[in-house]
Amino acid sequence: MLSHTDAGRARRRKRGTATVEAVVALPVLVLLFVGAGYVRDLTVATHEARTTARTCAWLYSANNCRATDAEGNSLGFPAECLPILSRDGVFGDGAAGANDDLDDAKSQLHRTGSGVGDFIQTILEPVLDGVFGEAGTAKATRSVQRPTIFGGSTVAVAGNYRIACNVSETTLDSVAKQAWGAITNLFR
Amino acid sequence: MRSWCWMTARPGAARAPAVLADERGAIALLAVFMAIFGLAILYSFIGSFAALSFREGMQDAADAAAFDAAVVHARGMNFIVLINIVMAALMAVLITIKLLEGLCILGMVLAAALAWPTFGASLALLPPLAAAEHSLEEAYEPTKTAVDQANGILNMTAGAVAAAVPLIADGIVTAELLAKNLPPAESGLVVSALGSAGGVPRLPVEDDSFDALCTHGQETVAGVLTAPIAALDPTDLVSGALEGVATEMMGAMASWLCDGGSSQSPSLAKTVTRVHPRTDDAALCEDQDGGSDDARHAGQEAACERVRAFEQASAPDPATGACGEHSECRLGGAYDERVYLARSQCAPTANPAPVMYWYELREGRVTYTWDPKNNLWIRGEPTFAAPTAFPPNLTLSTDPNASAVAAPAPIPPEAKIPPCGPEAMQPRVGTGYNLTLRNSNDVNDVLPVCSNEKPPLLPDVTGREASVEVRFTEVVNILGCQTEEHAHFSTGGGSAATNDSAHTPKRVLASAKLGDESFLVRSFMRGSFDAGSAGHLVRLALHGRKPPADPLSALAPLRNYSVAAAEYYFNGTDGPDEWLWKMKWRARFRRFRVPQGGLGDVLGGFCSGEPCSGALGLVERMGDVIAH
Repeated sequence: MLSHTDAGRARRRKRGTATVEAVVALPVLVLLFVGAGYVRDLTVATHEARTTARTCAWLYSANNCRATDAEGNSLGFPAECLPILSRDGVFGDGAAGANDDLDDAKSQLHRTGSGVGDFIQTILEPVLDGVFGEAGTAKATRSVQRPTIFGGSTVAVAGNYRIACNVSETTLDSVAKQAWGAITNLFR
Repeated sequence: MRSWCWMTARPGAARAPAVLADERGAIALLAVFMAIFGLAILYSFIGSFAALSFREGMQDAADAAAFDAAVVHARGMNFIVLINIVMAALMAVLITIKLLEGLCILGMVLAAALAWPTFGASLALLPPLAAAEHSLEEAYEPTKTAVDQANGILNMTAGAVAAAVPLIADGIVTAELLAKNLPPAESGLVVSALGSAGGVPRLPVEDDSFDALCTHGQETVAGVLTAPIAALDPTDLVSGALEGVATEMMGAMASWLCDGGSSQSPSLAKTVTRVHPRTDDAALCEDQDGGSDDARHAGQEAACERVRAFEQASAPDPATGACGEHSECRLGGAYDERVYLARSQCAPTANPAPVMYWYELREGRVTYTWDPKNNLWIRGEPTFAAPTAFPPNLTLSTDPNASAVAAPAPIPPEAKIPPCGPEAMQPRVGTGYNLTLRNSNDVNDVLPVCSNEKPPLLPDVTGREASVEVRFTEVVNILGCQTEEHAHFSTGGGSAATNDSAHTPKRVLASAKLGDESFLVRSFMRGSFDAGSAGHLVRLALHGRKPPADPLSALAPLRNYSVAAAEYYFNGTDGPDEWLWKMKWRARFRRFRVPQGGLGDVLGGFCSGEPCSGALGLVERMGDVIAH
């Protein structure tokens, strides 16, 4: 039971509390609000980068990892895809197990000892090595502006997608050219 | 109202005290709740994005892995196509030789036919044409041997590639995982060609018939012949028609061009040296094709073992040619069988005739006494010196895989002369060849193969007793011989996919259809997504009460796994016969479906433990309802 005097003192203490509370609470709420926006930007940018990388990589793979056709004409990739695509050699430099399996097939070829056998090895062995194929990689990046309240500057987010290059049709002409190259190499 | 009065009474200076004096609001509690709520929303949002991002990454990894593996399979198929094309090109070389040979023969016939109208001028063409035909004929056999050998090895290479490709695909995916190229997946595997024979994944190919090789060889030759015309004919109308005609014509001559007819593969002729006597087991043991499947190999090994046992038990004494010390000498024993078989198989009139003989011979002497009453010679009991083997100290193994001849000294050239035989063959010992081994059941009673014994001439004084000793040599037993034979070995064409000895191209399995399990590749990826304490935080809202039942709890273990499917396919409109003759194999994504027979056997130890197997069981039960 408060006395009259205590009640008056308590009433006096209530004075101005809303302002103080607002001063304390507002920055927290502002931080939360700005943080939520920043996270949203990061999320969207990351998702966008991934989607772009995936789309570009799939298109690239579908075109056998070629951005232009044999005549050098553009295959109509989206403009943003071209700078982010790369084709990187054969698969699995560290694929020792796979190499062992391949060696087994190669050892069959090496059983040929005659001139015919040498010729066949020269043609087929590089192709057999090519069983590993190539892979296309798309590396898309997006920049997100970090709010000044969190230190400013920009943050880069990336989306990578790596997939095997699909197989283009090989014609007998190209095989003949390869064979001719192999023959001429034998006499060099 | 009071504040308003203050403000109107003392504007400016009175504002601060008014704000400080303001006791309405009390927003602290509200702000705390707002902050907690806002944080929770943000936390939930970040968590959801992390989960979505993880699932998206896992799916990307599974997609890429399945596609990578399908591409490797497609490349493997294209490589087998290339092998087939090379085989056809090699076959085309043989066909070309035969074709040129045929043209030479045709030219000779025409030259002969035109002799009369050209007053014999065309006959001048005969010698060069005959010489060319002879050269081509001589070139054919060695070329054929080389081509057959190469095609056999190419067939084996194609088989090895078919077996290796699924392993290579899995190895590549493993390497990609190790290189962190498929984040956030940590481990995974690809499974292809489910339902392959024997449960071992391999590309769905099998040996094709020789017909296919012959046909494509002819097409290659026709293409080469019409190539100059094709270069001048951009529309391909003329060259295409000519190529068709040439192929048709060669098809009609297929049995001659391909040396085998349309229904069977050609034989590979080789000159082999064979040792006789040759048992049925020796024929089985002979390694004709240089390779064999397991069952045949086992049977061959058993036959070779029997041949070795027979060789040991029937070995003659190297010095005398008689039954050896450790041999089986009884009637009907191994030695007896050896000399019986050798006598029939090594006859000089056999086809092919032996090129080297090994026999047991002995010197004998016998006394002939003249019987004047009956006017004939009476032959006495002959006596014999110790037998000797010729060539001496020779070992002629009947094991086809052993070194056939072992002799301490060079084999004398006389060994090439038949010891017995018709007069015209000028046998070394005597004329005639007795095929009968014995007339009794006495193992020692052996009728000689031949003898040079000749009864004496009539005595010069008739009516008087006279005796004459005659010396002679007889061949007691033929111990063995060597022949050189043109053996014809089949070049295969069987249907078994594992028949390594075939010299034929490959084709897609007759039972396989594009789009079925044979061409499907599935990937299974595993990552680890740690939700951390999010679950506990969410449960705070329950105030200690029991959480409600989660209807999807059974699927929770699957959150760390992702699956995808891709297939390799022939990207053309040709029929199955052409699928392995055109390098048009590509890969594409497919919707993932649970394979028949369930996932348990497929995944093996990859997804182990009760939670995972329970989730897999649920997925299998739901079947088509769940799409990845």
